[in-house]
Amino acid sequence: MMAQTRRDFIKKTAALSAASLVGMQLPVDVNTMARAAEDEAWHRGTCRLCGVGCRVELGVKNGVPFALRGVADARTNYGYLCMKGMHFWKCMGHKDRLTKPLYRERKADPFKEISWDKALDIAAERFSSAVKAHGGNAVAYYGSGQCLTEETYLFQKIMRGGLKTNNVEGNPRLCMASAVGGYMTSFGADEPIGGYADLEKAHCFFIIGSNTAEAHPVLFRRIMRRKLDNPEVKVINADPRVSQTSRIADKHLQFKPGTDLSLLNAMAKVIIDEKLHDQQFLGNYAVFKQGKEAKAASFDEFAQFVAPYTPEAAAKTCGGTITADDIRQVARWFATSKGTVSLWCMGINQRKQGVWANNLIHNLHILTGQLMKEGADSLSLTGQPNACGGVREAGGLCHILPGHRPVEKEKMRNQVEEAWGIPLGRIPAEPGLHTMDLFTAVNKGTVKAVWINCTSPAQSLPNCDLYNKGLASDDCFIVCTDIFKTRTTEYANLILPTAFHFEKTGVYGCTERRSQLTRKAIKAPGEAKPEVWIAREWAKRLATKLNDPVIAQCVKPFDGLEEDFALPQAIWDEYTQKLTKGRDNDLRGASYAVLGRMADGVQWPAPTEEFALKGGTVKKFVKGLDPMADSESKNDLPYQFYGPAHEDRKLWIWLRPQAEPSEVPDADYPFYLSTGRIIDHWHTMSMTGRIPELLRANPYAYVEINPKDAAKLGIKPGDMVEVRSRRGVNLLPAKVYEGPIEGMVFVYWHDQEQTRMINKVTKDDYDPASKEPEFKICAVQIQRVSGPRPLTPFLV
Amino acid sequence: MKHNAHRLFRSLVALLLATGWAAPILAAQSAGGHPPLSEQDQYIACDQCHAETTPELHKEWFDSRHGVAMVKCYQCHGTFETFRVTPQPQDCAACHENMMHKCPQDKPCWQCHVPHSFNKK
Repeated sequence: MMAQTRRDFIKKTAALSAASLVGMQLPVDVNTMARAAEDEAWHRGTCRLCGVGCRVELGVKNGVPFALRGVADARTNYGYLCMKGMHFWKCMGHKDRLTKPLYRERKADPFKEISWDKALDIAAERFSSAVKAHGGNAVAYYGSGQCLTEETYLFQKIMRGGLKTNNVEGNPRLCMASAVGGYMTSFGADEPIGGYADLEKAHCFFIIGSNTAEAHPVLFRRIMRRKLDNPEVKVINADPRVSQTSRIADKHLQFKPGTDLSLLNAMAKVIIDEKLHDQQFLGNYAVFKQGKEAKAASFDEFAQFVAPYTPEAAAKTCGGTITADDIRQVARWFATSKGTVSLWCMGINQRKQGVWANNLIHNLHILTGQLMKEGADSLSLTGQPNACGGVREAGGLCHILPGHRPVEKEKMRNQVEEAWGIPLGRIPAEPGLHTMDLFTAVNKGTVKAVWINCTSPAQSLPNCDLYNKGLASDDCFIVCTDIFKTRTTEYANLILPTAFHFEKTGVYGCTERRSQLTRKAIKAPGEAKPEVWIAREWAKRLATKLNDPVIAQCVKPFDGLEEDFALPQAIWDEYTQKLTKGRDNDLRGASYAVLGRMADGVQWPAPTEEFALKGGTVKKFVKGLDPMADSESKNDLPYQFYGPAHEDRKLWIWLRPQAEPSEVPDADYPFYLSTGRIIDHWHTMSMTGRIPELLRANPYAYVEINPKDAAKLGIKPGDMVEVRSRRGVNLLPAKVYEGPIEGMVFVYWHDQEQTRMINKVTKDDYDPASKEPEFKICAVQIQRVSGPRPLTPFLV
Repeated sequence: MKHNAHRLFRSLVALLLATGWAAPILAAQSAGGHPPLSEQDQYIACDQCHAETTPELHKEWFDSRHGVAMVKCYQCHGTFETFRVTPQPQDCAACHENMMHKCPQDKPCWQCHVPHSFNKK
């Protein structure tokens, strides 16, 4: 948005352009540059932002951070960083950092600074009164895929073993739950079989429902490089929206949102009709399943099931630019390449049919045998840096205990209880409330106290205004642990300042099953503390107030340990040595000592230190590459699918039909709305919005409108446009861009400003299996309101 | 059209230099390097304006590996307060640290890796 005219601006810049043309040097401010001078120390760790898991070094001089650079030997990023990874050090000494505990009894009161002693006492008092009056299910912990594994593990131990509630959830419910469901039902085990090493060996990339260029930039670089150096490599990009990722695509398939199930089934049909499936692989390793009961089906029944999904029929369903020949072409490329890697993200996961969409991608890999070998993998891209390591693996969702153990199985609960030295039967048998049910319960007043850690649901929940009603109520006591104020801290009673990345020690586990260590390098500002200390001290007070020694037992192994290193190490050791032992995510070899010696980290399973030091398991289930494939081997076949969810040790191909999104356009709300991320910002922008380079790149949300739609609606670039659904409304500047398919608009969700907060507009219906909401599709009205207006970025 | 604008800029600066108007403008820039902009204008992404003001350069960048990989202007050139027309090798080191040791130490990166296409000469 420009307040002055373009002509004025261009006049001003003429002299500068000319100066650089004639080779004039202008003075430079060196203060923020990466220097390689003396007195500097570089501290190794993992990037704070997305799920790629770039390894970085933080440059520190006299205790003050001044730069970040990549680690060249790291097998995740090979030294490269995106702009967020380059700049997040600027959060460390930021003037807006929370530095003291803040408290108010009622939410209309102003916050007062209080001591840690008082703060922890209040937190313990409010949680224990709720438990005394209403039982464990009246309290909840809502964590994050950005918490360190040690934090998630300790909090969930206190909640489950201490307060006797499985109301342990986290924001990965909003992004990765469908991927978990897909992996569990297709492969019998969570997380990818392969990993990034497959990218440099792939001959075909199928990128669907992912704008990898912006959401996983450093992985995109590897794909881009593979393609540019090997032009015969095929890149297929399937997305209702043309994005920056599409620039390297040989074929971009643009389809109506929600119709991709048809596309995927049609590809399966082509593969079968043209006999491109791998009969030997299917015979050895796969079965067919259908329905809720996972009833057995045959190959012929599967063929019959996909028969109606002819390329012609699917092209018709998909609309957009897809032709039947396109579908045939991409199916052939997929099936016949020497190695095909699929990558997907929220376009597939954040759907009413999220698990099914995941299954259908896995189907293609199983059908064609594009698995297990180098350059072939079904690679779900994880959005957050530690959704895998912390939440999915260490017990951060309401239905799973650490080590991928379903809470509903008594044997699994008992294993955990024994490891924790607490009475058998202590952990409740029922899963807790999943995220959407949790915040519904807050609305109803049945959940009386919530601990919200390192996330901002007031902005990130779909249909967020509805749930903000409950968050605003004085019936629900809210503790927020965070580094900056957010839209969610606005609803808190108690705000506890936390140490940021590199101000504390802990592990992140990224997309490719790789756990990597970040050690504390600088002091946290003011009185900010690491979450593991906060949780431990809180638990000790809970034990006293509830007169319950079992709660004390939960933190006894960690009592008195120094908080910067010894405490997180002890937590990590307990988790890895006791809870992952013998499980499919065995991390016993990945001690801090081992992780500290590595440029990057360890891919599980890695039961021994010797194996972990080499990097761990590059391909799961492959004898010779995966130690558990050897130890769990039941026959002579090279691949052993020992995952915990499939007793038959087979890969399952699912018969899944096309099914509609929850809300599609109609006469009243004629446009699709899709939402997503852009490269310069992260989530609710509390971090990236405070970094000038990143804020100025994208200071406010806009609505992307296809030029044909813009022309019909009389919308010009920069015009103010109302985006309205049945739930809420935003007012956004228009970006007229040949991006979204006709009949669809796209808005990014980072903006904290109330009129530009797109989750007021999104729909909160969710996948019945994964409980993950359909952020990606709902129906809206689009209306021009006015010409351009000067806008201001906003941060809480 | 774009080519004409480019030539216009060159003529403009020649005129400015000849008439002595360049000095005050350059002096204003020397504080930060980029022409002074209002706070509102600073909220326009670099490439949005530079697609018009320096279109050939923009295209060169956009078509390069940096452009495709979305390595944006401010990553090398900084933002307004930290702006530098000519990045230092240490700026490249954020991503290309390993090349600092492999490449010749006596010349800046861009002598061989010419901006903004970055192809090795």
